[in-house]
Amino acid sequence: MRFAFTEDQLLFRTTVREFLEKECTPADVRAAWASASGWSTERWAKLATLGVTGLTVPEDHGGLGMDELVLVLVLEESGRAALPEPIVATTAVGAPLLRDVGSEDLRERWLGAVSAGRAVLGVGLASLPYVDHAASADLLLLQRGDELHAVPRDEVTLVAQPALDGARRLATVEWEPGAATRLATGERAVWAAEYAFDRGALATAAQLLGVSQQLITMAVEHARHRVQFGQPIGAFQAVKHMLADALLQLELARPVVYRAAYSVARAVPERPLDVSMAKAFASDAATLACRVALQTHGAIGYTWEHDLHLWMKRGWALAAAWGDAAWHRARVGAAVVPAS
Amino acid sequence: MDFELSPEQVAFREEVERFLDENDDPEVFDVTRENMAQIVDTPKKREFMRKVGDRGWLGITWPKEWGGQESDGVYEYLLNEALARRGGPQIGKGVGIIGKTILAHGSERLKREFLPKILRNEVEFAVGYSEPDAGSDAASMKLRATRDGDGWRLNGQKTWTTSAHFAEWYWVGARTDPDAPKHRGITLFLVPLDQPGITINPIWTMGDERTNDVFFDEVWVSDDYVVGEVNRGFQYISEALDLERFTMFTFSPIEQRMDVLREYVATETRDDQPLADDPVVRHDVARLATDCEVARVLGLRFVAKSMKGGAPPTTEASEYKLFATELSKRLANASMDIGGPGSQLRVKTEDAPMAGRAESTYRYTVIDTIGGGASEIQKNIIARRKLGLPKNF
Repeated sequence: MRFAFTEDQLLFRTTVREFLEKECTPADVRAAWASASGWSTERWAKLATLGVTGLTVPEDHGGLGMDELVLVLVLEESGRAALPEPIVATTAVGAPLLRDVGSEDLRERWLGAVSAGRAVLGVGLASLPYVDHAASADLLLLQRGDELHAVPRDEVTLVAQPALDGARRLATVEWEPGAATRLATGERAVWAAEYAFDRGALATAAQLLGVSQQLITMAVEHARHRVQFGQPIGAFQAVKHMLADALLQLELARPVVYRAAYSVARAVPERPLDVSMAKAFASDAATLACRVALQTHGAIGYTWEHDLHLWMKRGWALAAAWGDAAWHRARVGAAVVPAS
Repeated sequence: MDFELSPEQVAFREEVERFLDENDDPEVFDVTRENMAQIVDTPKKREFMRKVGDRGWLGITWPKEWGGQESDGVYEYLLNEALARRGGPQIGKGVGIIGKTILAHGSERLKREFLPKILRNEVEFAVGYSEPDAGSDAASMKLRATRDGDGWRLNGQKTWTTSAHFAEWYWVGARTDPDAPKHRGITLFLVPLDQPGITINPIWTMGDERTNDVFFDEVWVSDDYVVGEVNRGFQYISEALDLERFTMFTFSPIEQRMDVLREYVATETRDDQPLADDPVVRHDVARLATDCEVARVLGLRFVAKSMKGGAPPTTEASEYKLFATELSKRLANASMDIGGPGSQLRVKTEDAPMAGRAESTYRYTVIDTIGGGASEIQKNIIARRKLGLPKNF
């Protein structure tokens, strides 16, 4: 039994954290939101050099061949920095899906490009109404019924769906399945789609940990320095208990997300249950962190100039993505109390 | 990182289960005593814990020099969870708070006198920190110890001393320097509870359990029974409290009650409709099941952090205590709600839903968010030590 990460895993996280502290500052996030695509191809290329984009890609396709236990640490950092790039769809979900069910030809063509930072993947499962970063994706992995298809973006019609997160641009996809794009059918396709959904839910749960951490850090900084009634507001128990509650929910969510990462990486039978527990808890923790952070900041946190909203919007967006807390709790309910 | 037990740990857990099967006895194991099941308050429970000691299981984490095994805390955790799951007595304050404090700070004399007895389970302790005017603010204790020859003279009152009526020794904090700042004027003493001048009066509780007031009237204690240095007592108390928060609130009783509720929901009907088909009930059960998993892995994280022989991590202990006890209450609330009108029937009543567990748990768990540092105190600890927010008192 070993409930701690290895030195190597933690070192990789530190490398990513230091990179993002330099290359993905709040000003950089704002710049990305204001750009045409919502994210930066330059930063994506640099992340590829670090091995991040191809983290889940097998080594013979130029990736690191690592599993979800390392990936969640990197995703946590991406949440902490409010990273605008499409790491969830491409690295956490799309690449493993192509790895598992893609033809040799498709794997050859796309996985190397993902590792090199030259390709972005979009994922449109039947259970997901919107596809994030769809307009930037070179290849869309789409589900219709018991079929999975890999469709180049120029063969689909995208309808933009303006959403609150300036980087995580959403669209609906209009497309027709054809023999040429078919990835998998029948049981194999359903299995792959369910696994992909769990990978997405796990990945957003991990990002939500980082988002919550950053929100709490910002709120604590504010509470330590903002003086009212002659003392820092963080000295008031009404404020500090609110922050302690938010921190507690985050600290509780963390080991459950790691547990789910283990279940996804090792394909344990309880994987859907573990993932749903993680996503439900992480979504609730992030929603609480958003509210507490804003309440602590007071009116300044409501302004566009303050950076708080960048993280709050990411938190709200991810809490609702890949199954919100209520959806995942329903799945937990079905597993622990089967309907009569 | 992984979440599986090693083959050695699995083997140990199986050995413990076999041992518990062999020693099964309803007078020793009773889940309906809830959290109070852990105290060793009857001759039969003492005899059982002596057998646990014979196995070498009381000193799992202690140094070999003092009869321990210098093994991982995870084995102590596995043992305690197994004992707690059956509502049995547990490795508690003797091995933990008192033994570990004596090991770290006690004199050679105290080590020789108490450590072997603790490992053979030949001594029971009561712990006295709380006073009528020192509850959450434990450092404001007033029980006075004044110099008298080669020892000290103790006068005053302690309260909420749960084990005072059956223990032999009292682990008690007293004020030795009234002029020093309140945290720096307290000393820890070991006092025999049959010492002249000690009066023990029962206080009965909503959970049908006994706790006690303890009065000191000119009670003399030799210098030999001062623990560590004079005026350093509160530091030792704080170190041990972190340990207490974790060992006192085991996870398996919560899990066991969750199983009772889940089984009830899966099999019972209300107004002729299966409870399992009620979306509100399903939602509540799903949330509680998720929270139970959270508490379980949080506990494992605590074990992992304290395993390398280091001090137990303070804020993790506070986080665990805060969440587990609040969860325990929410689970009790849900059990009462879902059980309907019958959930007011007393425990062990034949017609009671969940065999009356809802009722006993509901009455008992109300104390868990108060004792061992109230939830609000845990939040202060988390806010100050982990978030670095300023003191407010």
